Amino acid sequence: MRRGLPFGIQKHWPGAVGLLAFLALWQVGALTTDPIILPSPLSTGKALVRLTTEGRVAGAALATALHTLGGFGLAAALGGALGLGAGLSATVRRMLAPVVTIVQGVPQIAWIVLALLWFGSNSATTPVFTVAVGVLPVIFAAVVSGVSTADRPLLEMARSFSVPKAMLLTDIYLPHLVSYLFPAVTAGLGIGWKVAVMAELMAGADRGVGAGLARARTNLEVADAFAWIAVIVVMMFGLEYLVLHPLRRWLEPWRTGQGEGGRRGAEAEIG
Amino acid sequence: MLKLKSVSHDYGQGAVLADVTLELAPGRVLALTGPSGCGKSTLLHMAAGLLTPGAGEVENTFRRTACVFQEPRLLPWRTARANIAFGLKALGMAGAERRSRAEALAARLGLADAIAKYPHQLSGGMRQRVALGRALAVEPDLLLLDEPFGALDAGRRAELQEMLLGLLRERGLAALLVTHDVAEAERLGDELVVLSGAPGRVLERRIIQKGSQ
Repeated sequence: MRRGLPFGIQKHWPGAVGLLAFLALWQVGALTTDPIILPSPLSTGKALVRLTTEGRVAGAALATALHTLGGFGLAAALGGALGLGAGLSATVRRMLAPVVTIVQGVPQIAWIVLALLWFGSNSATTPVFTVAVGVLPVIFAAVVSGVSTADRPLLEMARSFSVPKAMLLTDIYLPHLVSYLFPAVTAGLGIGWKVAVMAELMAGADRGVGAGLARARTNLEVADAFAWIAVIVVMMFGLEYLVLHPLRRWLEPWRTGQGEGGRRGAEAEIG
Repeated sequence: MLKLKSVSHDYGQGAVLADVTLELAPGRVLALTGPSGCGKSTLLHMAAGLLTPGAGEVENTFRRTACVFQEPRLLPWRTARANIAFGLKALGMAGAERRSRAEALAARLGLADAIAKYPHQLSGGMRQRVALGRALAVEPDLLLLDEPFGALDAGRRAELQEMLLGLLRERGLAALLVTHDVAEAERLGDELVVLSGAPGRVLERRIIQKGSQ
């Protein structure tokens, strides 16, 4: 079907149509309302260019990225260690379960308030801490299920070949764990990003995208606020397509095209 | 020699095997058949040293034993080549050496084009060939096969039986073959042992008279 269209267009045209419709609707809305309420796409673009040329976007994006990655790194180290313990020992798992439930039950905004009280407002520790607490349960849960669900038939096969312990780790446990970890890393970075911006904004920080957003609000520069939101969205896309997708292709080359290939293989085996 | 001396086993829900005695000499193929749940696979696990019998004794004086399971049990994150070389890696063989051995074996198994593919890109029959290659790569003198072709269609099964028969003869391997297919047992085995339903006991033992093949 639609043989005439090159593959890229055939695949992407609905997305492009959706995006154009969104921009058109935005433009119509901007024309019919006060620019103080809804600036047009064009004035948002102009604000974005101005903020970028003033050098404010790059510094803010870098600060937010550092807050996110710092918090994420902490969560990965701590969640990974705890998850490993809980995955290997049912007792540790049962001990940690209520703690994780409590940490998960506290809303992000409450963590931000606590962090403000503990670390003060204009401190990088506040967003880093908030991100770490928000991402920790996600990483923890993924490591627990990854470790405790190692494939028994594969382990038995390895035993029949008298595979040494170190090789069990590198050839069976770790690749299996990575396949569980990757979705959690994606989700964790997504959460971390939003929490970092929120914490920066709430804390009245002087660095980061959240700080830029707070300043735009104070000065009632609505176009600037929209521009900062655009920065956040672009950064999320960049993370997804420039970092996470290549990382996955590098870590798990065996997954390429697995969706259909795997199913086809399974059918052939039964039939 | 592989000797199972009046072995019995119970997983905790009633006996699966009762007083079974088997002997397998070098270069011979013993086919083991019987209804499902008669403990065929349990016997194989004992022979492989993966399970200690509840009673009785297992004596395996073969130099090296390798298993082929009912499902291929390949590592999804490794290519066909690395899967075939898996046992060699466990033996501590250097990378280049085990890759070249795996490739030679893959060619013999008709997998030359599949060497760089991952298991999910292979058909069921090809995956089972990789599993067979992995077992043969460690140069065993005893091969334990647990319904290795059970999941394949008739055409593929016949093709792989032919290939296995050739390999067993070419390398003078002993094999213990568990199968529910009597035709397969008679085609591949030198000797046939039939087990009864649970708990499995030896019902019948006979030498298979080969036609003028």
